[in-house]
Amino acid sequence: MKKSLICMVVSCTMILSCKKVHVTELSPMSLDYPDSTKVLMIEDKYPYMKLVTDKVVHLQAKGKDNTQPCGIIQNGESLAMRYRYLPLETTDECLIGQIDQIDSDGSSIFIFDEKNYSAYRFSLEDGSFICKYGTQGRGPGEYISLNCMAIDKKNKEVCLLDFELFKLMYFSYDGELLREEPQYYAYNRFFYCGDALILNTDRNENPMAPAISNNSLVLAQPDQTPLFKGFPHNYSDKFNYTIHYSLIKCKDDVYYTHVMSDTIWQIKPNGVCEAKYVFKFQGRDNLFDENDFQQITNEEYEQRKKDIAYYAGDITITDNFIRAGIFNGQPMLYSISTGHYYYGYPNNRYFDGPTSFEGKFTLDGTSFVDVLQPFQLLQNHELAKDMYNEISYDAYWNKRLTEEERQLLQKMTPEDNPILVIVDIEPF
Amino acid sequence: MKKKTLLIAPAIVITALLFTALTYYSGRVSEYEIEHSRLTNSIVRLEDKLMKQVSAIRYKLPDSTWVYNRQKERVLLASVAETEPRLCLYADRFQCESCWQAELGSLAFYQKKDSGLPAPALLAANYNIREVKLLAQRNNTDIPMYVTEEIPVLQHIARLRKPFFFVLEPGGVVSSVYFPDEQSITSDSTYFTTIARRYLKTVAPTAQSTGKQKGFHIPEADIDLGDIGLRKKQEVVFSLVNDTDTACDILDIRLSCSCMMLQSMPQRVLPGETGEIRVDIIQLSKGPFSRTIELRTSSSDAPYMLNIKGNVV
Repeated sequence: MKKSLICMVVSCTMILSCKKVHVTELSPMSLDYPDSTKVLMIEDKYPYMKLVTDKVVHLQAKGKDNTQPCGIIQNGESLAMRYRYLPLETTDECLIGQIDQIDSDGSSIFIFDEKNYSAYRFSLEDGSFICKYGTQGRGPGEYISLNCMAIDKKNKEVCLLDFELFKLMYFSYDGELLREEPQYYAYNRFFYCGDALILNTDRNENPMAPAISNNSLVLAQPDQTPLFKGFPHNYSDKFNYTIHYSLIKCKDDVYYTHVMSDTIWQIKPNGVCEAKYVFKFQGRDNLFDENDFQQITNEEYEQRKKDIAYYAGDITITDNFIRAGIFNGQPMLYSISTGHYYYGYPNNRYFDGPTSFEGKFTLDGTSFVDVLQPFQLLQNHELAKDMYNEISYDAYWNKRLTEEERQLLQKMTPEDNPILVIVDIEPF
Repeated sequence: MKKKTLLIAPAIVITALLFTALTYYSGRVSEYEIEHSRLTNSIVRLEDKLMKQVSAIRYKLPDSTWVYNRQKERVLLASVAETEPRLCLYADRFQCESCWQAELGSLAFYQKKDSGLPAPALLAANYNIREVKLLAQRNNTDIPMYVTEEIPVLQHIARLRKPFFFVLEPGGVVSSVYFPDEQSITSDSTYFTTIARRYLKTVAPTAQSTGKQKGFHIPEADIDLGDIGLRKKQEVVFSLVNDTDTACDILDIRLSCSCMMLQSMPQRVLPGETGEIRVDIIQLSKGPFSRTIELRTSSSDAPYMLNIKGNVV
């Protein structure tokens, strides 16, 4: 009798001590799902991502006037660079205006043009057009605008987000629509990372999902069910700045930077957020502190970074290098294996034009990718021809251009799609 | 007696105060009305001035003004409006792109709304064909687009680096040049309405019916009130006659001035029946006036223009 009483008390205590998890149904953001069959079950609490800051690498950044060397630099020297041109095929079906995202599966290249709402696949071998993902409209596989493209390499799927119709469209690599899913809460950029989705909820408040509201990042299952949240924000109403590409993907890793920060965080699928790189600027401490997030106004923010070098999210990370654009400062290239720096624009020459190496994209984490616009290139040539004697100018060109460049230039028209320049840099 | 005086005196004071307040209030109302009327008239005058300036500009294009269509075919610009006028938007690469794209959106919007507008076209200066195709794709529009270099006769206008509208008339005449006001959509609306009216003239008889005829019509679309009193309310009645076999829906009515107030209007005029539109009009300044009512019905794509005129004495 005594034993059973003790058992009862213990089990009651255990049951009562169990934390009760409330689960609520989250309806799609779009009203096009009136049957409410599509709901997302979300809990009332999610843990924060774990921040790890003990493995950070400090990157020495330089302002415009800073002539003092920092670390080991090779300023002024030419980098050993190899580059090959990949002209993308031009048809009425695959017109590209600007390139905002590039990804690759090894044999083909995925291009996302955010301005013109389009996503394409081209052959990596010869730049021939393979397929387009979706078209404008309101039907299945159609969109009003596109905000982001995410490649799920594991399932070989291309996922597009339409933040106007609040839906995700999943296509096979070959362009066939596989399915559509509603968007349940607001995020404007996302990437696959292992088996998880990393969603940039940015400054969206998401009042319909209080468990994740007012956080800049959400790590979720592929069906958007949250797992972790991170980077809570409580910006003042008088501060509107944000970084457009705060979430970036380089190879298979996803990195995050937020406004008023010099840190690049690597987000891992297990909910760990590792401070990977921090920019250090000579002669100044951090421009912003914790209190600024709640108090700063647009005017104060502008004033504080006026004429001062700072980092604002312009970065590309490959296996061997980190390339970063510094506002009011010098672009930099950091060699991961040697810890050496290169400041300024590498002495590159695409068709010997004024275009310099920018390396805004990476191809599988090995090469950098630059984008050349034929109409700009031809326009620059015409301007140069006007300035110099045409005959001597042509002779100059014939001497300077490689055979590949000469042939490309002969075939080039202003209406052509961009040319990708795949750049490999020798470690330094 | 004293008691009576004590009661009457406050009553007189209260009455006097009430009277003063009422007088003051009605004075304020009438001041407000006058101010409102003055502003309305100023806006009307400015709009008239704007439209007069718009009408004043006319250029003849040189015969050799070539443009490229989306298929990269070289065509004469004059041939774009060979048989009927075209409402064109001129956009230049060196302008703020978002500004002229907003105007393109505006043009597409009014085109859908006002079918009375001439067919639209975009003249993209210093752009290339690929960009123009991308632009059509991005805006999901089928407005014909033409690529051009700077057009000499328009050079001095284009140099302002702002998008502008113009009407390309048959024979290669550029007229009705208008620079949209970024701060106000009212003047855009005035421009589009004026252009629609001006170029609708040829098709107006089908919509603007007068006299005895079959179909949906308004026997008296122009009403002259003659001499009317200042600040005296006048009722104006327009009869709507539906001599067709189908019902006619009243889709929209627009009064050109806040001095008019719609009192009643049928939602639908059934076949063989008549309806009435009743409008009250008050004029707050002396002299001749002219007001317009734009009526849209399901019977015609073109709007019916109802005119009221008179003289305030």
